[in-house]
Amino acid sequence: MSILFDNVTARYPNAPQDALRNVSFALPSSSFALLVGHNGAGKSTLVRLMNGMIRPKAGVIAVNGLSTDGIPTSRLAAEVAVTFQNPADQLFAPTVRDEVAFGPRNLRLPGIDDHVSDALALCGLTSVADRHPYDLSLAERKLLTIASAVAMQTPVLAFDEPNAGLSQPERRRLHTIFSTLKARGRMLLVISHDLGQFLSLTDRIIALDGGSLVYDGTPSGVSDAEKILRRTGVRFPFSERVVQLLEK
Amino acid sequence: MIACRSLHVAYGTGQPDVLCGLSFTVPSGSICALLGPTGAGKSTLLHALSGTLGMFHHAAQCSGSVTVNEETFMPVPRRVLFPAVGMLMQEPHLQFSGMAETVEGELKWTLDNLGIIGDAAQKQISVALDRFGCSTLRARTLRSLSGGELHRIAFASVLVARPSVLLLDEPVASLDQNARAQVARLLDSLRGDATILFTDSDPDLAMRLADRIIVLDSGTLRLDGSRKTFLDTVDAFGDILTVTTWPRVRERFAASGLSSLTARRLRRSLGQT
Amino acid sequence: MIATKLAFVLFCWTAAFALPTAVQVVFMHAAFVLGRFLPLFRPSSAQARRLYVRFLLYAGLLSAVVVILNALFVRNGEVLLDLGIVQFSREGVEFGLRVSVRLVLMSTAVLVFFLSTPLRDLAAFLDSSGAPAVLTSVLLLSLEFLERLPQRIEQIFTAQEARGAPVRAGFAGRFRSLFSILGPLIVSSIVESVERSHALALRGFPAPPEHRIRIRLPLTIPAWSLIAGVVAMVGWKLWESFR
Repeated sequence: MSILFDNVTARYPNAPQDALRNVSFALPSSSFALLVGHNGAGKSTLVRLMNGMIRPKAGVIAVNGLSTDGIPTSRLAAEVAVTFQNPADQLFAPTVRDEVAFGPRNLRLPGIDDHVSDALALCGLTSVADRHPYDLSLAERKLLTIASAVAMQTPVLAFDEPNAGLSQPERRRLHTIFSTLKARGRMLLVISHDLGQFLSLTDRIIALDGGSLVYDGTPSGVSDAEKILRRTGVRFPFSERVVQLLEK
Repeated sequence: MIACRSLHVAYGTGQPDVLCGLSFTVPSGSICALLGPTGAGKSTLLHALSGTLGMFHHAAQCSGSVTVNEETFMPVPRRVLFPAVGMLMQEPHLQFSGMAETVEGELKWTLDNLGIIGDAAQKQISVALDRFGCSTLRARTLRSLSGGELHRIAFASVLVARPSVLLLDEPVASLDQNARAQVARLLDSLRGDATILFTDSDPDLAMRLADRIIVLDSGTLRLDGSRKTFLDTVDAFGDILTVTTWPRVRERFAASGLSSLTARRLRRSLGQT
Repeated sequence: MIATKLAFVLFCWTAAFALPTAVQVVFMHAAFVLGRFLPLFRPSSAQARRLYVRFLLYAGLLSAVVVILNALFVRNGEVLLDLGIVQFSREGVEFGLRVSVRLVLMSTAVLVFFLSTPLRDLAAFLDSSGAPAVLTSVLLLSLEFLERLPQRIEQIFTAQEARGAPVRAGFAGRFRSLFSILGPLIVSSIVESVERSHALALRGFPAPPEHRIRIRLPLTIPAWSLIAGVVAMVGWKLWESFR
């Protein structure tokens, strides 16, 4: 199994209650899982537990057969690459190419140049490889953070709202990136409520509500997936609600 | 009201235009959405309208004209148009003065800058807080407020000065759907009291409540029309906006025979509360 | 209250140059006592209190070093202590004491002021008293930066650690990761400062003088007393130099 959570409970320091409670699931390699739930349900907590940014209060977490217990985040980065919503938290290098190479250099991967070129090509950033990251548009900067994660060659990749702020062509590019990575055998975990964008790639939906797992399975279609989302208290975008009303 | 006539803005001599000959009018009391991708020139336009363009871009080259509430500037206002124009930033923490501990103190700070003190100030603060359902937060410290409460107080701290034009820079970009609905209700409640212009890269909020939609791409106007006009031509904006679901809405809407597009009216039309 | 504290700083700084060292020592101890016991001058947070204690320790250590070095290297006049290879001169000790007492008096006054005055209150005072807007702006932006600094650093640490950067490892690892932390921190701070300046300008900052200046004379009696003391010291010094 690529990711294994066995009865995991987690709580932030000084928090009045658990952020995750008795969560158990297993995700195989070469798969795509959508992680859904309302704000504060525990989605980000789950991702941070995977690469050791937070440690569980109870339970076992294993990534590619390796227990995360006692292993620092910078070492777990070789197994799980995580991107966050705000590119401004990580961009610092003088060029796009250097930015993408940062992760592989930290992991001391052989053939860094090839990994970087491949990631740039996959994310459509080859033509801007020598530009400064802050010369790129916000959407391109988001793709840059994705390229940085891809170049790390980790078996598992986790993305937090990767399509927020992207226009149609960029969303199509994102779809291609994810389907290519899945075909290459990577395990992808994506936090998003955009069923339209990701459902065709999705093998599993993991739904959280108030820190508890309320659904773990394979949806049979869009309406099934929408029911799952509604159970977690997620409010659909205005456009989706209008379509639902008009379709009734 | 807000109007531009052939507005060109470049950040320096010899630099390419960031705004390329914009002309549009936003009638008084209406809500206008300015849609476009990052880099389209939305923030530049807001700064040009509010008089803050020259604060960090001393060498900006402008031509054309800007009209704010019957006062025309050629090309752009050279002074900050406070209190006629108020602007709300994306992040609430950027909005606050840093000189007040409490909610009341924060709103009072805006009025102090206007020279409004004493009973008159207290009354204006009460009205602003009531407007946003924040009267109970008056004595609270800013530090103790939740994200949603901070957002409402940020609104109140701008609106306490009673601007006739309200500009909002990507007001819902970092919010989840519940918080977006709250912002939509806040803006809807201000309809008629101020001329509102907000920017966004997602058409959802615009389609929910804007009287007018302007689409900007690389400094050029691609659309200036109603929600219906936007919906009829939505496919054309797929390269710059997130329009995934809207073509489906158009098809269903056309098939339904309904004449109005807000969810509330749809529900009423369909006999639901 | 801030006006009183500013008058206190001015008084101590004037005393550091106008009064004999023995009198400065008295004021120095008075500043220590005020900073420890008087509510107006007490550090405003637990962190500020710890900083104050640390300052007192380091000030004592530094003063001892200054006195010893001067005693060793100023070789004029009477020898106070002869250890064979090294000698401590009276003049060197006196000069070292003069310098260190002056430095400690001045720095204690400033430190007591800033530790007992939240930057927020200082910014509001400056804004209300007609100080140049650029000064208030710098203070406000610094305050915002400092308040958000721990949160921003944690966010950036998390983002870079997830890319394998050894940000929480030993000294070498942290040094290697320095640019990857500073880069995003500085850029995002600049961007936020620009946005904030726009936001405050559109809430009327800086206000015109007729709306800003809200602090009127008279000041408090202690403030007046301290200002009178400053005038007296300067007057006395001038009279001495022309005598």
